[in-house]
Amino acid sequence: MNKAVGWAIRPGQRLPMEGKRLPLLHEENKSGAESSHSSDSVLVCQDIVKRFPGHIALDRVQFEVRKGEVHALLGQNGAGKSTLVKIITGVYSYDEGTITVDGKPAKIQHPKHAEELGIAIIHQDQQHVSQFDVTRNAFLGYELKGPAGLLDFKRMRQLTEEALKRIDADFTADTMVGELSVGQREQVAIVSALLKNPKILILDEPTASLSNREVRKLFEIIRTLQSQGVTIIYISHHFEEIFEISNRITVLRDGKRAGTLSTPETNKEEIIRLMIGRDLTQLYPKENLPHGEVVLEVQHLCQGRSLQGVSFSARRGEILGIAGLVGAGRTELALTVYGALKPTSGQIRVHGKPFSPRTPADAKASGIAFIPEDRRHEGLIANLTVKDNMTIANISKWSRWGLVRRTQEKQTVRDMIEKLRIATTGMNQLIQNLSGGNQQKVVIGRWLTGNSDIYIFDEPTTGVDVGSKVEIYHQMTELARKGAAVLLISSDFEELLGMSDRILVMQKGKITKQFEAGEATQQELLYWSTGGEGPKEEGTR
Amino acid sequence: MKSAIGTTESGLSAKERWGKVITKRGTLVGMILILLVLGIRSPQFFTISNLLEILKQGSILTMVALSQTIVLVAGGFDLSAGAVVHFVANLSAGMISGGQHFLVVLLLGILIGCIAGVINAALVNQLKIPPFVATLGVMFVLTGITLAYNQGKAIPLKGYPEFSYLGQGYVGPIPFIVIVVLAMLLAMHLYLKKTAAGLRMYAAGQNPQAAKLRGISPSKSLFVAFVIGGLILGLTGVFHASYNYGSSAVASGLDFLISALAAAFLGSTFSKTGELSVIGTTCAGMFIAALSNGLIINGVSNTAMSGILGSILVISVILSVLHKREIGQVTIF
Repeated sequence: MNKAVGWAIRPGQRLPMEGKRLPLLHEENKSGAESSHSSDSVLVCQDIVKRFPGHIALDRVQFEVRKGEVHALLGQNGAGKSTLVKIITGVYSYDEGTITVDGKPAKIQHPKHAEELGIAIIHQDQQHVSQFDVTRNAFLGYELKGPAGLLDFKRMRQLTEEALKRIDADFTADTMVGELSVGQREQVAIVSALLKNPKILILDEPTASLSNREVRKLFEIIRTLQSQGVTIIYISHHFEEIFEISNRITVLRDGKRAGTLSTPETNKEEIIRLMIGRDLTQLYPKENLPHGEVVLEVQHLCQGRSLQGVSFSARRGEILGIAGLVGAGRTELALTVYGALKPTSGQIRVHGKPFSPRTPADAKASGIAFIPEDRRHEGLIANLTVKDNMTIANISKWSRWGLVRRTQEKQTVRDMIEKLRIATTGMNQLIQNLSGGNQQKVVIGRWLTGNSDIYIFDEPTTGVDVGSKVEIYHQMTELARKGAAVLLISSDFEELLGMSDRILVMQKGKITKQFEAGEATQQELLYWSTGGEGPKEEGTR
Repeated sequence: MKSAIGTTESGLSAKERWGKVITKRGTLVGMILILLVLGIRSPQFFTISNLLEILKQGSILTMVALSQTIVLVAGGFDLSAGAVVHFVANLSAGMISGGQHFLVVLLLGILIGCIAGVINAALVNQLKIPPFVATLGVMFVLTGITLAYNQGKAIPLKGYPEFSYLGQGYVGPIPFIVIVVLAMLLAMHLYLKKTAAGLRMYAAGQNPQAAKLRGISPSKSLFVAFVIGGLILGLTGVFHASYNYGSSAVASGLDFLISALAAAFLGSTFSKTGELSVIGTTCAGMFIAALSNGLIINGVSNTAMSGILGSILVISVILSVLHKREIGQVTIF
């Protein structure tokens, strides 16, 4: 079954369709948008241009939403989704173009304007005051007052109850939000948006932290709202959700609209194609190195809800890519192997010996190095110097009887700055004054000064310019050549395809697919990351 | 006090809920037990006149605690509270003995309190100094100014009946200052619990990110809290000079500060969610006064009170932290 699905999406299989939809010509899309302009459009964004210093975030984007539909907005990170949403909700101003709401030209310059026009947004992971009850949270900032200027709790509670009823919630208005589940808190966010009587409700990644059951509940709510005439703009990475809930889909790519399609008339493969678009460019210094013995072996590893039986092994000289979307459990996997999270069950073997790290210090002693994703918080000590940040993890290497031998330490740092081409005024510069890419190189340099056998890179190139990226890739290859196993966790599929010997795809805490070098394509990685076999299960719902 | 005893007795009678009572109402039970023991050991403790006396003794402390509470609600912290009271008390005593009308003194005291609040808020909001450090600095500055003003000498006040009425006068059997505290409590309760500004102040203190997303400015809330708190402190300073028939030379500010913090934290353990409330603070403030009174009636030396108050502060912070952890909240520290 799975195999069949995997086969079905091989690019070669879809040749007949390519001619029809693949050309991503601006003209074609534009004409498509114009023809769909009709009196039932509730929101029309035309030729929206948004420039940021140095780049164009949105380049003549067309976006048209019809009354009462669920319109999915899709695109890779950086495609311009959030910029477009911020423009629609008045958080950003736009440089060119027009926005029409309900047939009338709208000037949305401030969040208040958007609110007055009936546009409400529910942010991803909406924040609440957990010590307040539902009523207080729902009305916070928009309180109703009685005659004496005091709060009219009676009316607020009544309206909250009504809104809760509207979405068929299973808790009351006077429940403390701290006692609610994540899914119920999402419902509180929906209720507080409903209290503003929105015509258009934007849901930004609403299912990111919801369980399956909670997602079902959310979909019921969306359908109810839809039947009550509310138009929904739905932003998500999950294809199965989009195909289940949406009527139409707009795909953005590189700040342009790649296409707007009617959901029943399209399929996942076409959408993925629109999202990715162009070919890879060569910037990967990949070498084919001989692989040695297995140094890391993970068997049936479970960790809470985030890892559900993960098994794999990594050999010396190998770069093992781990693909997946945010929340797939990749970082949790790294943290578990690194001893920062406790596994619920399963086994880790390092050099063939069972290994159960209780702390990162244990893992470090066993030769595991971890370069974290969130380098600002987890990786760097901002007000220390470049030198101190680089040597802090392996400081014992330069110490004798508790005293640091500075000359040797300095020599190592000087070598590393040169090797990684870190742009700094000197080793005594404070790390917070370095650019993001150079900061990342310092963190990587820190681990290169030690002698580890297993290196785990978690999103090493996010927010890093191309030049620094190549340096980081070079160091990865260097590590592999020295006989280390390198685990590369990345959401950049291009990078994974370019650097890895093997790629594991993770989704919802499991490894759903494994590719050898050269076997995979970006489409396939995206397909499996978003739950390859998903639609089959969902379809029989 | 009396109604509180009533509630616990009904709680105690339901034996199956004993464990729950201990975890949820542990502080209240503990407080009442302590007072009962003190009362049994010296019978004059529970006389009406002594109870009214306790309320009067606890009034100044409770006022400082109320000021501390509103600042804590908005997510701040005021270490300068005691020093503001001490400074205003000295200034009031000096001005009264210099022949000023007591209303002028009262207004000036309030004004100085407000200015202290504005300075604290500016240090925290504009200069981004953590409240703990900013108000610590203001505390030392004010203590220094006080010393320069009173030259290290006490300023006694005798023969000013109008002024002394503020802190020592009675309306029927009830001390005037207790009525002032009750009025203050009512006004603050209305403000914090029944107005949009109060609701937003709680939100800003508990989850500034959530507040910001709803268009609420946490720094504005903190400013208002510091100014209202300062206003109360100024008023308290004037009442303190009246209550004490003058001002003392030694810095009494720290004792106030410790008791006020203890009252606020102890008061927060009364509510189900560990929320700070002016009612809780007032009950806890009066309890601390009752405890001091009871201990002194039972023959504990006055000099031991500082240590006892410090212990109460530590215990109440532990209780409030445990309470918040139990319901899964991140603590304020």
